[in-house]
Amino acid sequence: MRSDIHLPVVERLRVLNYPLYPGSTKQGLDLSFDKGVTVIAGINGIGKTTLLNLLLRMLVGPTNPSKAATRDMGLVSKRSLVTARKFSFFQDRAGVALGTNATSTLTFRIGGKQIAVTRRLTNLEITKLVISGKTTATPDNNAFLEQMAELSGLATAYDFHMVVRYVQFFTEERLPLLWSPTAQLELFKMLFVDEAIGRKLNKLYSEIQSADTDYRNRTYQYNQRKDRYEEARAQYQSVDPDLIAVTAKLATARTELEAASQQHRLATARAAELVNQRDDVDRKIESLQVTLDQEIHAFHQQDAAYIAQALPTLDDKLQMLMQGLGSNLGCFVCGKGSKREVAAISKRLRDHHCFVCDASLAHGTTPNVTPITARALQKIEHKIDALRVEIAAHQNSQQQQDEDYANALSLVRPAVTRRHELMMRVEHLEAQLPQTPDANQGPLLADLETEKLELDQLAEKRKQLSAQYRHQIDKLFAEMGEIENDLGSRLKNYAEAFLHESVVVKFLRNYPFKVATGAPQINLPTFRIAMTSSTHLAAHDRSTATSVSESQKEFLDLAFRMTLLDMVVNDGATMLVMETPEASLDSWFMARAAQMIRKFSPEGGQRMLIATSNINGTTMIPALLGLLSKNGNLRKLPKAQQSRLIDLMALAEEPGVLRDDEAREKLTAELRNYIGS
Amino acid sequence: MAAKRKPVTRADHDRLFFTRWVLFLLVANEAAGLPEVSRQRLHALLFMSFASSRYYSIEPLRQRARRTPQGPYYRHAHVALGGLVLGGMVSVDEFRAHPALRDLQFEGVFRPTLKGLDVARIMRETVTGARLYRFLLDMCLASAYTTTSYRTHSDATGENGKLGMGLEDAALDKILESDLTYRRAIRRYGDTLELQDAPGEQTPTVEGLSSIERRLEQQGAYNRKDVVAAYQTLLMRRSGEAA
Repeated sequence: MRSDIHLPVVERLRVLNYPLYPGSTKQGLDLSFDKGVTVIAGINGIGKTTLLNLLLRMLVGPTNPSKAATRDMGLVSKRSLVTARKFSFFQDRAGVALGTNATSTLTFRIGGKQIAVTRRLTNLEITKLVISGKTTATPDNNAFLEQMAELSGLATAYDFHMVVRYVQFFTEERLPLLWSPTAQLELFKMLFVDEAIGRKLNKLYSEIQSADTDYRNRTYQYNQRKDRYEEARAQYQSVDPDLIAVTAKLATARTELEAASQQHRLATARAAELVNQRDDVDRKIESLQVTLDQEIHAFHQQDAAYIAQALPTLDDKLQMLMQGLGSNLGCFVCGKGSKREVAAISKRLRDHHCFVCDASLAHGTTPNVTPITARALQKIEHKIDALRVEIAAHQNSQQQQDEDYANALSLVRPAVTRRHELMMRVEHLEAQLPQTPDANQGPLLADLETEKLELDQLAEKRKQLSAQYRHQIDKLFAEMGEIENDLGSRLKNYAEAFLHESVVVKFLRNYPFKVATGAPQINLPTFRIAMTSSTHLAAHDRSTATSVSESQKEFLDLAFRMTLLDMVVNDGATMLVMETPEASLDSWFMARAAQMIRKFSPEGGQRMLIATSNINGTTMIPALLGLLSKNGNLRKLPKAQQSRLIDLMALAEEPGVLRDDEAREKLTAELRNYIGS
Repeated sequence: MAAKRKPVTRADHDRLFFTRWVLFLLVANEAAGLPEVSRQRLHALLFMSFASSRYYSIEPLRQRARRTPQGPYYRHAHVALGGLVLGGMVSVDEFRAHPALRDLQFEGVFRPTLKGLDVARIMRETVTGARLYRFLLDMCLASAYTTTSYRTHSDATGENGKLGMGLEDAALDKILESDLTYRRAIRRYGDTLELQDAPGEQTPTVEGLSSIERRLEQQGAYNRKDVVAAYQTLLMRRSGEAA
């Protein structure tokens, strides 16, 4: 079994220069999160979902937002789940062009370390990373995720991304977990069973898929060739072919095929050569671009230093001031001043402070450094210009190469067609010759037989790999068996807290699954829910999402996430971030839902739960904050806990509806009921 | 020139580049014989220069203008101007503090001093400095040409004196107010006046200048100053029609 896993727990989020969140004092957003339940309240369109999206993307980087339940994390390509296609998510949401100073910093704790990551909101690029108070070299997002995976105890950056995004966050992007046996399998691999089992299963999975694709493609081609062969034989054997004529035709066709193959080789080689040339130019441009960037960077430093040098120094300004003070005629400004003031000013300068505003100044470099000359700068400028010219020249030659490549390709296509036609013709003619035991007389048949043999071997390989896969699933099932009861009882507790029905959780190995189309069937182990209902007093199996109501489905999936988090952190600190799906709940279930959510993050515990909620006059907000007593009385949040209710209306850009005084008063009055005026 | 190099950190870069831009703008304005520069006009000139600098293949500085009742306002320009005045490179007449809620501002009429001209000359010795100055001078010369034409036209049509201030002053303000990028920016909601929508995109001013250049190309010899002058003349004409 796996050792402890530590998942990120956020502490603070700062957002600067982002128009959607100007903050209460127009200085940006600065939110602190404590252990326990925090509710982010607001009206539709104010930016609740965007705020959760921001929290998530600060942790995992730019990813494609995808709507719920459109994919199954156990079945789609791994790459497609985490690949970032939409880097400008927050830029688009802002509506106006963001400056490079639009940034966000998330401070969170993971694996005993405090991390502060700053990202630019235009493209979510990391601009600063501080780990335990030390600023580290700014990594790219992949390197950052690798680091976080290591700190969390998860095997790969992919695992970290998936667990944070789909287990810790329950937002509109959520994927069904409890209702998908394959998703459950993915989570078992990531969170519970020995890393080696997960690695082997992943490797075998891709090997089986690759063998299966290969087998099916080759079988299709084999069948087609065989059919053509059989057809030709049937046709010509019946008309007693003129062997001499067929042999002569075959010889001509072979000669033509040889010539066509030669032409095809030449055309292909030319196209490949052009591709190589283009790659060379690409590499050259890239390398020149890097040099150019470095030169420009260095030039900016020098250029700024040159300007600073041309401007009067602090000493020049001081001299002017001291002229009056030192001559006993007094200060230029007030007409007074004495040696005491001179001493005070000198002291400030000695301490590297401005003699006017006392601000701390950068320490000077060693004295008598040679000044930068305009000529030195011109040299760099000429170099930069030359690099630009060189890059432009390469880009022009690239255009020419593109044209050459297009021409070369246009020669390859007919050569391929001609060669293919001739190959078919040779096959046809060969098929007309009588079949002899001599392999040289029937190369086509020999080919077909070899191919058949190889296909049989491939099918055998696929079968063996599937057997190995099944064996690893056996191991996984055995390992999961150790935690089956614990996980089951926790899930049952959460589910019953919400459903008010008797729930039985079963761990069964009966979900039929094929790794690939032609691979043998394997039964996967999966947790299933059985429960009573108003129409069924005896608990019965609810194995699919359609066998429960929409709200039950969502909350059971939430309960499953809570259970997983409970298990992996071994009851230590963890975090769950959710969009409250209150819309589909009646008032009775709303109270129970809040109760279940609070059960995950009880007061005084180590857990953190961040939930958004609409201001809609229901009891969801006070129930989440634990402000409702058993008899339905409402108490107010104690002053020390008021940060638990984040009023986004006071922090986000004002939407149109809030300009209507009546609407504003009604909405703010509701929140006042919970926190006082 | 100072005897030794001063320590310059990355944080100083923006301030120093802005100071150079402001000093060059004041010197170019003086050299082109344009009306004197008030605080308000300086900020408007800065906006137009940033909106059109890409036409001269010069990257505009990264600062963005804020929307104020008096037009665009650059916080960095205020700091640069203060530094230039206290450093003895720019003289200020008719100084008075301008009350503003969020930033300290002052009104005045600004002109480069001899020392300012000398420092600008040193700064122009680099290729970058020379290119920037040439661009700003072209912009100011084009404005001078346009405003002079306007005065001649007004004298001829008897409109002289209608505006109650110097005709060239009024003409220059009209040009600055009618700049395509500025008109687009003020039509939008928000505290800042955006130059462009996305990185790498052309401002409406640069698009306008490029389309004039394409027209002039068909008519024979021209230079970039002619293009800028044609652009400003069109702005003048358009603002006249709008009035």
